[in-house]
Parts: sequence; structure tokens; C-alpha cells
Amino acid sequence: MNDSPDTDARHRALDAHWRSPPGWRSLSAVNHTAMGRRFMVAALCFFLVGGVLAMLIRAQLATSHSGFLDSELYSQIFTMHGTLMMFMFAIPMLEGFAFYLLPKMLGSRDLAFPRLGAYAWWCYLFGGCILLGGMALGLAPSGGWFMYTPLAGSRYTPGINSDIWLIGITFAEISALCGAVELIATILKMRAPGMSLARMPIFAWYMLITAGMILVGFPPLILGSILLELERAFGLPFFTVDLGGDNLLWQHLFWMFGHPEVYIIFLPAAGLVSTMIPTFARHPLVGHVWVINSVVAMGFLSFGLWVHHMFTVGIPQLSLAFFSAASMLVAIPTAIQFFSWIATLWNGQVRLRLPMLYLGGFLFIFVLGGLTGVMVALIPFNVQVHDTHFVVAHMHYVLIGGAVFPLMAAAYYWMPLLSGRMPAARMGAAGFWFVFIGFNLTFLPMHLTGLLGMPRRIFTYSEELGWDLLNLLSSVGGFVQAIGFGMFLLDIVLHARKGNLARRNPWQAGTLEWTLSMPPPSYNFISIPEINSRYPVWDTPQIGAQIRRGEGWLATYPPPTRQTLSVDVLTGDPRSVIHLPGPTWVPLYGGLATGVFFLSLLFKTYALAMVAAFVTVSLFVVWVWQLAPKGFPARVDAEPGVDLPGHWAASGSPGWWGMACSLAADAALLGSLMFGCLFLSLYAPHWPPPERLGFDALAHGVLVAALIGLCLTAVVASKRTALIMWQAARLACAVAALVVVGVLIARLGSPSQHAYTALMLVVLVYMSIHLGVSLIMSLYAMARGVVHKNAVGGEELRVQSLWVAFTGLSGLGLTVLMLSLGGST
Amino acid sequence: MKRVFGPGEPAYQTGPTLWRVIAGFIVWAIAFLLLYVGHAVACLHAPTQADTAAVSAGLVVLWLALLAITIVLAVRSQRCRRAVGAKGGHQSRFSWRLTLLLDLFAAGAVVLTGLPLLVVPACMS
Repeated sequence: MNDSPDTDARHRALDAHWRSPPGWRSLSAVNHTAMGRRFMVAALCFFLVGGVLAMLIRAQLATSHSGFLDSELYSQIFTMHGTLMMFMFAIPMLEGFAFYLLPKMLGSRDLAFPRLGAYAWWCYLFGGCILLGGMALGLAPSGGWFMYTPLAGSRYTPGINSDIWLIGITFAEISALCGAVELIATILKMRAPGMSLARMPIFAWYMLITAGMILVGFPPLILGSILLELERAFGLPFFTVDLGGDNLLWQHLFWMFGHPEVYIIFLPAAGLVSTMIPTFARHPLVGHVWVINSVVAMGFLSFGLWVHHMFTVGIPQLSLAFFSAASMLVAIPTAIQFFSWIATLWNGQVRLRLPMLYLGGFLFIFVLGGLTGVMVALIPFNVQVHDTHFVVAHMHYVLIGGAVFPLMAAAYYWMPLLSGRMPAARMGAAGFWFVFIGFNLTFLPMHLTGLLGMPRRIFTYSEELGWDLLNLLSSVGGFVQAIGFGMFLLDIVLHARKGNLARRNPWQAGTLEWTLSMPPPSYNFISIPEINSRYPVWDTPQIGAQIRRGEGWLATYPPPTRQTLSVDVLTGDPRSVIHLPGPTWVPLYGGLATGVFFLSLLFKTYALAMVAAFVTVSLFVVWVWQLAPKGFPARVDAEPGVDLPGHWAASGSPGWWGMACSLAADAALLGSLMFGCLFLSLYAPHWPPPERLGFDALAHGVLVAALIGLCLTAVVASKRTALIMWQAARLACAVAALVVVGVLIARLGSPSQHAYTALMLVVLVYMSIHLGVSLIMSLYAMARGVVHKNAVGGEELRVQSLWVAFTGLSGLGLTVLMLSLGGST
Repeated sequence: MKRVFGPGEPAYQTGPTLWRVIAGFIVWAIAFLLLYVGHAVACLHAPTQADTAAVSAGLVVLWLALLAITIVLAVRSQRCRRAVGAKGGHQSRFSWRLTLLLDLFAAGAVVLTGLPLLVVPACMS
């Protein structure tokens, strides 16, 4: 930062805007660097807890007839191990990397929605604390990380153990969804000028697809968790066979999430690999377009595999064959990526630095996991090894090989950026060999243990079965692995504090984050560069100096606010200047209020839950009100000779994309709900129900008219003319529809009598929540129209109209569903 | 004179939209869902052998129709890619190349997903 006095002055001025407050007030930080670090540190803590639990499991299974743990405690431990590793470590750690790296790679000063990122972190932290708190009190869930019913239902697990899982996980999943919305809007809209999709870093492509998968993949589990919690708390019989429910519904909803989840974990890690390998090969990624093609293909195909976890439950043969075919198909895009990495190394001049060691481990282990993946895609083999330790071994080869090894490589690779210091080879290499040998010693014999018939989730076994030696080997390997992880962590911590200072771009990498100083300043880029290639640092070596001299965009001195650029999604042409918010306590308060809501549900204090929900919604309204422009939006000098509008005055803003992504997740939830209704009505025993809602011409007529009215106002009311009038019309439609929904709920009768009434209650509550939010939005827009008349922009109304249109259309779809399931009165 | 970016600017030659880029795989997703759900629902109403044969035939027709759509998409992508040629911008060339690859891959995926229809009878538990 000492290139010239001018640069110093710019640095001080930008830092004054962007730096996070010190001390305890840093809890109000919203900056992506702080959030990324927090996600990573918290995920690491959860990983350590999950790792200790794994050691307890291995200690128990080391010998036959072990009395170290009893059955219940063992069940809690393996459930918590899986839950923490899948939900609290893998995805948050990868999201943390993405939060931290993406703006720096893309040429942005922050993520699209800093407050949302902060809220996501608080939700994640509080959700994780609920789970850990339950475990500390001996109330940990014990039904396995997939919580199958009826075992997880109130009959067989009567305490609050399952509730802790359902509520803690749902809470944490809000975080993942917020993170996904944030990442998509950032990747599509907040890149450096000239960074078209063709020039976008490969890691951003991976994260774009992953975030899209989170939006579609997580809602089925959220719905499943809500339904199971409703059954446990209020007796709504979604999974009770005698009353029209079906346990297979849970399995479908869980694995619609659960299988894509594996790819949601693997793809970001593969994105890290695709970023690191070209650096050490000193060669651009071979087959860049083929790799993107493979990532998109995996994103889609991974949603066609969920039933391969259910091959043994009695689904018709042809349906199984569809899923088996798709399961084998997904190996092709995976292989394309592998060949691309090998070809990049083959064509380049490879430098064997420390991260490459871990990448080598990844390539070896993940290939083995992929091969056993093709084996379990075959129905006859799958039936043989179903629920055995073979599956445990396969899963760990895929997940540790596919995610943990790349993450360890990435930790060393980006350490100079994170800490400003360099790693050293000796201890890191020793740690690698401990982990690598320990891992294979743990899980390679486990394939054999599984083939010999050892089931998963058993806390002891008989000596006569002959599994002792293999299990002992696995346990010894587990502890060797743990020593390796300990060495890795110690090495990272020591070198991050005491290692040699890193110079700029120590690995001679090609991506934009390496133009920054080590560690980077709070605002990332003193000026935002124009990008002309996929590897800007390789192709324009002087780009770093140009950035520091303020020769890029948004280099105005003094900078007026926290500003960064918004660009065209496809071409990367500049479109507007985004004004981002600074530190605030609102996300923390929002997280706390949401936490109180979930805890109230857990302890069945529903009045308090209602209050907490009201406070949460109120905080969101305050949040949006604070961010809304209060005056006529001015254009901004983005570069000498270039004017750009503020983001609220440009169409296709990050806010619009944020709402569109949120609605995509909402649509996935709606689709899952409709699937649940159809599945139970077609397949569950004890249907049709004894009583149905029936058709009421007046009620349904008013409902349909009001919903169509909402859709019409969504089309018309996105213009600023006659704002109050159109909002009033929208309000009237929402109120009318809400009244009818209330009447239908009152007519339903007891929702615990049959799965049909329970489902209809959920459908009507879903509609009423959407109508309620539309109503609040209309009141908000009217208030804005009165208080800040000239400041209400068309984009603001378009964002609102998206929600209203979705409410109208989803309501109409659900009305059709209700009528088709309703029969005659 | 200041350059002005923003709404109202002439459109760039940007190639396909994001929806078009993934259209092939959207068709694959529809094909997968229709085959799976269609098979499940049809078998509920197919008690006899003749009925199950009709279910199989119907699914094959559905499969071929969706395969045809992916092929049409791929052919159109190839035409656009050729039309853009060397004259188009880097983004346009990249996007059409990616779209063509995805369309071809999706067509292959539709073929493989539906292949069991030729060897496994419908409605067999």
C-alpha cells in the first residue's frame, strides 16, 4: 500500500468505510471477509467435535463385546457424528471458503447481501449450538443422520432428542439457503467489468451450480422436518400408516435432499481443485468448457439418484432401473473432470508444492470412492451391501476424499491470503502421510467388513463372526488419521501466526485474488480492474499495479460510501453501482429472534414462538426499510467518462436476483409438498380419508378470484404510476384470499384424524403465510409511497411483484390440488 | 461526452440466455420425472398384462418424443454456433459452444435414462 502517497490516501479513505469495528462491536460486522472466516472457524470447531465422536465410535468397535459405550449412547454418538459432519462442517466450511474467496476472485468489494450473510452465520451458529447443547445434556438425537421414521417418531423416540435434530437442522438449513441466494446474486451480478461468463473463474462456476443445487435440494428436507415435527408435536399423521400416512414419504423427502447433498459437498471442493491445479501445473485448465459442462450436468443428474438409497424398500423394478441408469450416468461428468485435471498436469510443468501433495491424495482416494459408487449404483450389488459397512467405507472415500483432502490443500494454498504468511512443507507433509495412511487403514478394510455382512449402526458384534481383526485395523487407522489431522491443524495455526511473511502472489497464480496484498485490505480492490481474460494475472501481469494506482473503476477520491459494481449477467458490462450497508446489529438480533422462535417450538411454548416470529418479521421490515433509498437516486461517476445508475434504479439488480433465487427455493418446497400430497393419496394405505374438504362454490370462487387478482396486480403494479391505488388493490386481494383460507381451515376439522386433513392444513397454512407476506409487502410499499414518494423505484416494485405473482400462482396451483384431492362433500 | 451504461443501451451480441444454456438438461429432468412418475401412476391403473404392455409402449413413445426435443435443441445450438462463427464476440462463441455440449450431453442422458424401458417390463414389483 505504499506505491504512492495517492494510494495511501485512497487506502485510508476506503478502509474508513469498509473496516469492521474492533472488539465486541465486531459482532456487528457484515463484511464478506469476516463472515467467510467465521464460517470456516465455526465449521472447523464442529469438525473437531465430530472427529472426537468418530474416535469414540472406533474405540467401541475396535473389539467384539466392547463395553465402552451402551447402545443408546452409541446411537447418539453416530447420529451426531454424521449430523455434524454433513450439516455443520462440510457445507458451512465450503460456503465459508466461497464467502471469503469469491468477491476477491470476481473483482468485487463484497458479497451482494452483506446483512443476509451475517444473518446466515448467526442462524448456522445458533442451530449448531442447539445440537451441541442437546448432546451435552445427553439428549442428542439417536435415529441416525437420516432420522428414518417410524424410529424417529414420537412412539419409538418419545423424548426431545429427535426434535433437537429436526429444529436444529432446519435452523441451520436457513443459513445454507441464505448463503446460496447470496452466492448466486454475487456470482451473476457482482463481477469486475469485462468479466463475462466466458472469463469467469472456474470456482465461481462450481459455486454457481452448487448454490443452485442448494436452492432445489434443501427444501425437501425442510418440508420433511416440518412434517415430522408437526407429527411429533401435534399428532398430525403424515408418517403414521394407520391414519393414511406412509414412512416412505420421509425416505423420499430425505433422499431428495440427501443424495444431491453429496454433490453439494463435492462440487465446491472440486472447484477448489480446478483452481489450484492450473497454478501448480503452470497451465490453464484443459477443457474449460467441458468442465463447466460436466459441472452443470452433475448439478442436474444428481437429482435423479435419490432412490438408489431406497433400492430395498419395494419400488417397482423399472423405476429402480431408471435410478440405476442415472446413478451410473453421473460417473461420466465426474470422469471428465478427472481427465481435465490429469491433462492439465500432463501439459504443464508441475511444481510439487505442499498443496499438491493433498491434491494427489484427493485424486487417489476419490477415484476409489467413485468406483465403489458405480458398484452401489448396480441394483443387485446394492441390495447385497445395503446398510453394511461397505456403504460406510464408500461414503467416507467419497466425502473425505472428495471434500476434506481438497479443503486441506486449499487451506495451505490460500493461507498467504488468509494470514499473510506462508506454510512450510515439513510438518504439513508429515500430517498428510498420517492422514492418508490412517484414512486408508480405516476405510479400506471396512469394505471387507461390509462384504462379510457387518451392518451399520450396531454398537457391538459377536467374536464368532470373525470381524475383530478388520475392525481393530480400522480403529488403529482412525487414531492414526486423528494424529494426522492434529498435526495439520497445529501446522496451520503455527504458520498462520509465525510463518514467513508472504509476498504478493507467492504461487504465481493466475486468478484475481492474488493481485491483492497479503492479507488483503478490508475493501479488497482500491479500484476495480477491467478483465480481458480467464487468467488475468497471467495475461496482464501489470494488472495488480494498475489496480493499486487507481486506474480501474470506482476509484473516485474520496469514496462516498461502500460501493461496488454490478454488471450484466452474461457479458460483464457494467450496469450500475451498488451501495452496500455497513456494520449493523440487525442480523444478530434477527438470528436471536429466529433462535428464540425455534427454541420455543422445541420446548412447546407456542405463545412465545408467535411473539418471536412477530419480532423476526418486524426486524426484517426494519432491515429493508433501512436499506431502501430515501431520495431521488443519482447517477454515479463509476469511471472517468462513465455514469452509472445506483443499483435500485437499474433493472435486473442483485435484489431482483435474490428474490428470484428465494422463490426458486420456495418453489422447490411447494413442489415437495405437492409430491407429498400426491404420493400419500396414490400409495399410502387407508386412503381415501373418511371426510374431505369438498367443493364450496362461493369460498373457492372468491379464493380463485382473489388469487387471479393478485397475479394481475403483480403484472400491473410494478410501474410507479398510481402506486397507492394498485397496492391497495393488491392488499384487498390478499385480505380476501386470507379470509377464505381462514374459513377453509376452520372447516377442516381435526388435522390429527387423517393424513389428508393434516396435509390440507399444511397446504392452507402455506398459502396463508404467502398471502400474509404479500399483505405486509403492500403495506410497506404504501408506507414508502407516502413517506419517500419520489424514492420508490421501479426495481423495488418489480422485486415485490415477483413475490406476489408467486403467491398468486402457487395459490392457484394448490387450490387445484385441494379440489382434485377433495372429492365431494 | 460521457459514456452512459444502463437500461436502454443497445443489446450486445451475447449469445443464448441462461435458460437456453441449460434447456437440454431441463428436458432431461422433465423426461426423468415423467418416466418415473408416469410409470408409477400408470401402473396403479394397469391390472392386466395387456395394460402393462400399453404402459411400456406409452413410456417408450414419451421417451422418444423427449429425446427428439433434445436432438432438436442440439441441432439448433450447432446452427447458432456456426452462424456466430469467428465473427461473434468471445462470450457468444463460448456460450453457444457450452450450450451445444450441454444439449448433446442431455440427449445422451435421455437415451441412457430411458434404456431400461427396452429391457425391463413395466409394473413389475
